[in-house]
Amino acid sequence: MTTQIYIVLYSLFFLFGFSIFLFSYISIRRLIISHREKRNQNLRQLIESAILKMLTSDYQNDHQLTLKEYVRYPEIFTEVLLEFWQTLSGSSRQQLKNIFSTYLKEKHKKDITSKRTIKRAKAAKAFVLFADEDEAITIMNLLQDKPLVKMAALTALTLNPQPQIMKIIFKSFIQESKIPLRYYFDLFTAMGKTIEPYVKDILHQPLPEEKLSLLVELIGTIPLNFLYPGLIRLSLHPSKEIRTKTARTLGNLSLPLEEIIETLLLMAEDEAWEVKAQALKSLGKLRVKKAIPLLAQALFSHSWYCRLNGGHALVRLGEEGLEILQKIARQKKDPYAADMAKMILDEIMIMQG
Amino acid sequence: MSLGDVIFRLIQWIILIYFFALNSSYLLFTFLSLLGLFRYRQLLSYIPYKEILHLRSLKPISIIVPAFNEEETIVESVHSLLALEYPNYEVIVVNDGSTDKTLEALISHFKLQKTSRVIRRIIKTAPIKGIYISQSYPKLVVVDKVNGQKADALNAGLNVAQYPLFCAIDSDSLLDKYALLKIVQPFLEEPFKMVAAGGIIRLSNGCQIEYGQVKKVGFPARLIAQLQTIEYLRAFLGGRTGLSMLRILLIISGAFGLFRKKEVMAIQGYRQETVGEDMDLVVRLQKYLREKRIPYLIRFIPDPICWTEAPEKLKSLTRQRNRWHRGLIESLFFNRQMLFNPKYGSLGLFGMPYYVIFEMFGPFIEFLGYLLFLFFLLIGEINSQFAIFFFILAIIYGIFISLFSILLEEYSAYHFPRYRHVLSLMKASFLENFVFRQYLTLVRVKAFFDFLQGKKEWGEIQRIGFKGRQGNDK
Repeated sequence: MTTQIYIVLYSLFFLFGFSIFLFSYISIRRLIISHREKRNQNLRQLIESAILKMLTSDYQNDHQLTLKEYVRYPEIFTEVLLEFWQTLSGSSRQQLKNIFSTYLKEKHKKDITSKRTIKRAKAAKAFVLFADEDEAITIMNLLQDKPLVKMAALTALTLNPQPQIMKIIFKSFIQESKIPLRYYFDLFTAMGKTIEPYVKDILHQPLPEEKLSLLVELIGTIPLNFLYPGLIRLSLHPSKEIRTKTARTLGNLSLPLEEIIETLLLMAEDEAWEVKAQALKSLGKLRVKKAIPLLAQALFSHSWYCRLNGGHALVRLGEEGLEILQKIARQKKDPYAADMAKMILDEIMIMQG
Repeated sequence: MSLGDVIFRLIQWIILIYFFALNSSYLLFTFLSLLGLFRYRQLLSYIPYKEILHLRSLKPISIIVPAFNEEETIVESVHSLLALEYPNYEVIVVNDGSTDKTLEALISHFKLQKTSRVIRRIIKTAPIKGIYISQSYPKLVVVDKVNGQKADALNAGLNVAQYPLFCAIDSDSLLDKYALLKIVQPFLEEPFKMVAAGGIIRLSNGCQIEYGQVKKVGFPARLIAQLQTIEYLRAFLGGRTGLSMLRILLIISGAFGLFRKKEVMAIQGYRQETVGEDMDLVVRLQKYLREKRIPYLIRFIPDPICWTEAPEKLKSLTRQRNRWHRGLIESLFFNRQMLFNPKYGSLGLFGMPYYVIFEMFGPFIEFLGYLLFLFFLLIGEINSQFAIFFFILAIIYGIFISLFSILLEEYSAYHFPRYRHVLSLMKASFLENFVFRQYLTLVRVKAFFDFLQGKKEWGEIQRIGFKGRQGNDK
């Protein structure tokens, strides 16, 4: 009995103690966070102004002492430096690199070998951007690290698109097996047309379907117009996925070239309805008048998507296409075709007022 | 020792072991959640979610909102959905044969016009009476159909949806402005494996709401809502994060979940014969994927928030919990072949048994414990000191876990801003274990018998609505 009462009393005491601890912990944590936020804001402003003075002054040594004070706050210091790096270009970047080398490099070098992934990932970006040539091996090692660190290093590398670096990035893409490929897609789209020669190079290589499909999509998204001959070759690819994406991309390029139109017309007769539907959509996007009979025929297709895309493509062709849609809507032979035509006409009327 | 004594002792031990096993599993989930939250926050500090907005690889989303007799709240809910931060999405409101003026409110406010849209009826549903679109709000589609319950409305929405991901939400819930950007994150990380993701549901009672967005987090004024607040924190921040980390998550709340449409269509969408269509979908989805040996992931993310209003009337709360428990039993019953079946891996061997023992039969064991405790105490047959001792310890353990979930709340995105809110949460953690918990146990026991009798009612829940909520600053 006594033991039981003691256990209950101890438990109650523990609960009471835990409640007090919890409340105190939350209160102290909130106070610390709010204090830290205020301090960080002030520090950020001070560091910004110190860097600005250093960048604009002829007597840089005078400001070095001021900057040295902030070495104790490497995270904020690095953040501000990175922001400057993204805003400035040319010789100013070299000055930023000098600041990094003088005050922060050692710290980041240490962080890059840290056991904590997040710490390594955070250090990677700054390190890669401000690294010297002789530190290339360290950067290459980062590309062998965990996906998060690798992603950080790759992001940083794309901000400095030198030919040598671009080759490294694309080599990494070809060999990739850990990072989601979508990540490369976002990186590449952010880089824009600068990647055109590199995509051209690897488009001819035997790539896994997943990677090839991503490249095809990329060509249409940026868009990389000069790569259309490669796409025309891919219109005969054995994979339905690749052919479908090729048809979509050819439409997205907005290049009404005869070669492209002929390819799309052939693709609109593909055995797979997915390819057909995309080709019809692209023919509409390119406003190919000679595709009108094919598009009208598509409204009588067994595939819902072919009927839908065929109908929308006719709308894009203007008056002529609309007249055909009206005719199909009035006919009674194929109610599916009539319904689709009515729906498209209806929605155009509503959306265009 | 007589035979009766032996039997009684045995029952006593079973009940006590059950209590401790249940609370210990909660504690394990809570610890795991804390770990998960830390990891998530660290990752977020490195990859800010707002950057996702600019990614070209974001997939478009169809938001499906089933609505039945929601004329008071529907316009504001739809407005808030149309103002979400996401590059490409559509909002499909399915008016499930409302008998009030839900449809009229939508038509007049959003200037909707009927269209003769042709849809692919991949999933069978009650007949669709009309589809409406608006020139002023091109993202909005309203489907008017004959009443067929929530699952049927969701299926109709699925037939109309045109995007590869869909998000099912309740019409009386509000999504945080960045909720879609946050919940889509796992689909970017694992585009081929991720099939579903769930976000956190938090209570809007006491919050200040303007233009369909929570402007200021507040604490509910009424005790009944305060007690539910701690329950939600424990269930979502504690339970689901932990279950998701163990890969045995069987439920994504119907109020807010993001799914890949292709797989959901492959299993014919939501099951119409259940009131727990949300849980049933997740269970069947996993069953299908495991049977087809398709690698998949389902994740719970503690950051994207959906605000919902908790019932403040006991009658409404009773109906809601009765329905939830019936839904749970139905989902487990319909998919019973997964139970202890090694074919379904950890889900069949651990996930399903956990839900059956602790969630489905849990209320019975708990209720039996209370009954026996009272009965033997009254007739003096009991070693009362022993029973009281363990009863108190079980309650202390429960309170400890609830208190722990407050710590999780502190690390979540929108914590209660005032110190007095923290104190109120602590108070609720204590009070919840007396009367409220026992009452809900009773409700769930009754739900079991309702299930046996084949009850399929949803039960009306009285709500105040978001319009003009000024928030509780006290």
